[in-house]
Amino acid sequence: MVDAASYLSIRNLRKTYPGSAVPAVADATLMLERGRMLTLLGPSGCGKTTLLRMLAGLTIPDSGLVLIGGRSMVGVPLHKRNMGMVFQSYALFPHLNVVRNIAFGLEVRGLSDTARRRRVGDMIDLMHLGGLEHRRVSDLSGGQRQRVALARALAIEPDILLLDEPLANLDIKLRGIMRDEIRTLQRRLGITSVFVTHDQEEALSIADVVAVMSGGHIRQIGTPVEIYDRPSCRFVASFIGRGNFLSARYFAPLCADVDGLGRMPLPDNIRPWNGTGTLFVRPHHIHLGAPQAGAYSCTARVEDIVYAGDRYIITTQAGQQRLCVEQPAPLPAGISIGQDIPLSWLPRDTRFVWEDGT
Amino acid sequence: MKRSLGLLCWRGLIAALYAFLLAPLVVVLVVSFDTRPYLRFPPEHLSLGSYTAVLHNTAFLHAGLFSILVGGAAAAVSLAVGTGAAFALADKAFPGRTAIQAMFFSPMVVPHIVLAVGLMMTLQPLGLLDTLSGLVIAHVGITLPYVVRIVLSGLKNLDPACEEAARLHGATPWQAFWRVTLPGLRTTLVAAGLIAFLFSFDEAVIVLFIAGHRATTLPLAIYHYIQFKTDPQVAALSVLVVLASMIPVVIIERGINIRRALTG
Amino acid sequence: MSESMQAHPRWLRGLLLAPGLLALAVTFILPLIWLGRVSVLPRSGDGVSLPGFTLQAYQHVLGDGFYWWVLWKTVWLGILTAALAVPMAFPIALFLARTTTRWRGVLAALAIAPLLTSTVIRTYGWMVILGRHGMINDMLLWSGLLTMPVRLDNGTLATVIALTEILMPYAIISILSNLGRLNIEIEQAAALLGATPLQVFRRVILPLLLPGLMTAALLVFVLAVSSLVTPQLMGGGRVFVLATEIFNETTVSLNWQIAGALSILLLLLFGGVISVYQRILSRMEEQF
Repeated sequence: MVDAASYLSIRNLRKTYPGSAVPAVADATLMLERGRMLTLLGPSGCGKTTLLRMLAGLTIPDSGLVLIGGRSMVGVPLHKRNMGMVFQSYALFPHLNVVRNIAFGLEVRGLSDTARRRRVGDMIDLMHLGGLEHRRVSDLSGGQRQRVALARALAIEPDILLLDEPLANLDIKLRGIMRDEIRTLQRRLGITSVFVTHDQEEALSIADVVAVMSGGHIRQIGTPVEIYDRPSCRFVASFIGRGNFLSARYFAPLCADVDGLGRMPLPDNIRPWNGTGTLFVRPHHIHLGAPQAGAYSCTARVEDIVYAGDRYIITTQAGQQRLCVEQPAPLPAGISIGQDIPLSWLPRDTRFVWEDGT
Repeated sequence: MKRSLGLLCWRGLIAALYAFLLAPLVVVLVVSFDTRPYLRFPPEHLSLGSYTAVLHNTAFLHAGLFSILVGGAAAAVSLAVGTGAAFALADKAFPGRTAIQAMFFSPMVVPHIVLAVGLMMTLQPLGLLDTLSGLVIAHVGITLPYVVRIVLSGLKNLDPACEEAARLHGATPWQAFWRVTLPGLRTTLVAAGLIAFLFSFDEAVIVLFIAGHRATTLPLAIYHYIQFKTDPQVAALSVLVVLASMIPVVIIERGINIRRALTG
Repeated sequence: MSESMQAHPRWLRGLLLAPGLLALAVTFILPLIWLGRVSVLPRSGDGVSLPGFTLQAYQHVLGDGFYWWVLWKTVWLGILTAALAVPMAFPIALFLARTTTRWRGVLAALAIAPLLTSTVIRTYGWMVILGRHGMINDMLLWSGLLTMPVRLDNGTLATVIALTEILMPYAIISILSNLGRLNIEIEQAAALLGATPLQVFRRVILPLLLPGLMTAALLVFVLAVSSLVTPQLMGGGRVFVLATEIFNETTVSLNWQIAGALSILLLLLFGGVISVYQRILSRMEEQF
């Protein structure tokens, strides 16, 4: 019955908090293969944490189903769900030391002393916590707490590992290190995981599958490459990376009429649309200087240049249209504010995105 | 130059205010080492005679033990019933929650003397005036709101995710309560119990109305004593009482520091 | 945003609340109801309460100029004490909030610890200081300013001095808990914008702290008007306030009806002051 494609399956989950007119999560449906890492990505208040909590059973959905391995989780008490969770605050038990925190799930399961010791010892080794066994949780650094929280969640050999913005409280350097560590560990243990974050870079780099959410809806589900390269709607395109949005009307096959820029060639994967639609070009796809063969080209005036280390971000004005361009450093000679420069991009780098709410 | 003068004035003001605030306690401390049978300041010779006298004064000793008994019983009852109520009141919203909480806190805004008159009138027909149970009942009335308030704020300071983590990682509701929630409240409960004990131990208005010769607490014994006699013995007793009260204060301070360390 | 998991089922909540509510009823609600009841019972010639209903005690209290005078003395004592205790508590609170000395913890404990020592003991301390042969008299006699000791320990002045000291810690705590709103950076911002220290105090510190100061004043006032031990001991029988009157009616005159009526009167005074305070506070919040 259970196929690998739907080890974790969420069907039409819906939750409206009392006193709120709009649902926090509306009809969320998704599936995840066993051993894969899913990230729920979106701005704060988009419903990603509520969705995760419904998955965990910490929040009761108004309607819908959660199935794990084909088994419905409806009505299963929290302590029988066999899930591990890393909370944003870590939620380590302040009155217990490191070992007792990690052993907690094993203790309440009544595991024998020897089995428990062995398992906790494995976790200590796995998370590089050696030497900290008998420390109080309050004496640990942020990164160490993170490891203890992860060890506690993994110690019970959960069916699913849930992570609620686990890196949000770490400084930026540690965040990157822990992110890679979690990813490596997840792959090695092959544990099905759901990771909530508002950081797009984090989401893209850690996930097998990304679900982008806003306003309680899942806007797009796909691999990180799909999400970045072929955003389905304006929200996803603008939330992940930078983008230039162009209002356009379909003019003829392989050709659109763009506000302020005139006729523009289209790739062959864009189908005709009615009325005004939105085209989308990534800033790093826009080329400075002589156009390549078959490229769309125009002239734009440089309005601002921002240095960002490995690249420059150049704001230009082409007719009525503002275009943002990313150019790897160093900047070609002779580009300065107020100057007119040639811009071009290939039709294959033009995408069509749906406006939100359609 | 001008700045340092201002600073000096400011420090002088603070020192003077502290002197005023601590004057009665300091004076009592100094007088307690006096040797004369009547009250004079400053003392002529220093001795520990008054302390020996206090420790041989059976009336004071009995009153002291009785105060500890009343305070302990009142604290235990308040803690037992107040903790339960605080757990219920920590629920986010249920019908009548605000009203019930206001009711629990209301004894804090009613003057003790009014409560004392009411208690006297209620306990008298029941034959509970001047008895241990009468005093415990009265003191539960004034300590209960503080216990509820302290435990409630302790509960609000707990990270709700801790209980969730316990449940999700395999603890039954009962296990989560005994292994995570209650231990997390340990310092709060100790502080609440000690505060209740202290308030009962130092309470002097209600006992004036409902206690007498059989059930005399320490503040009442001191009150009666200084109405007629003011000799260094009562000063020595006062010093002992203040010192005894400081022990719980130090413990509570420690507890709060521990909690700070835990959260920060 | 997140929903608390800790909602107890209704039966459990009831079970948790029941003992507390019972204790509250027995130790607080019932006595207050009984107090009101006794105050309206008729009283026989030899002082025994009879069944029935009468407002005689209230008529007696409200019709007697003496009680009005006592009420006035009580309010006056409360105002005086609050007017002294709050300005004296304010610098200490400000100091404790700002100081960086490592003695801060000890100093804070010293400011607040008197709260946890018996009123009786601290009143006794003031009797030693202000007594006929007390510290002040000794010093004045020794310095030659006086030839005969004066009575400082009997009367309103002594009561107010002792009450001010006894209630100051309450004011300190109340102001201190409000000082959290006053970040030092706010003051620095005001100073950088060109305000003189005096202007910073008047235009920034004071408005921000006014609610805290008012709460402190209210607290000291209500505690002062309901205090019994200090007026009784310091007043030496010559300070008449509602509390001492209530005490005399119950223990000396054994007139429970009058004691009950006076208690209800004190309760009304309390309620009145607190509601006026809340109205002022909410109006102030509208203004700022």
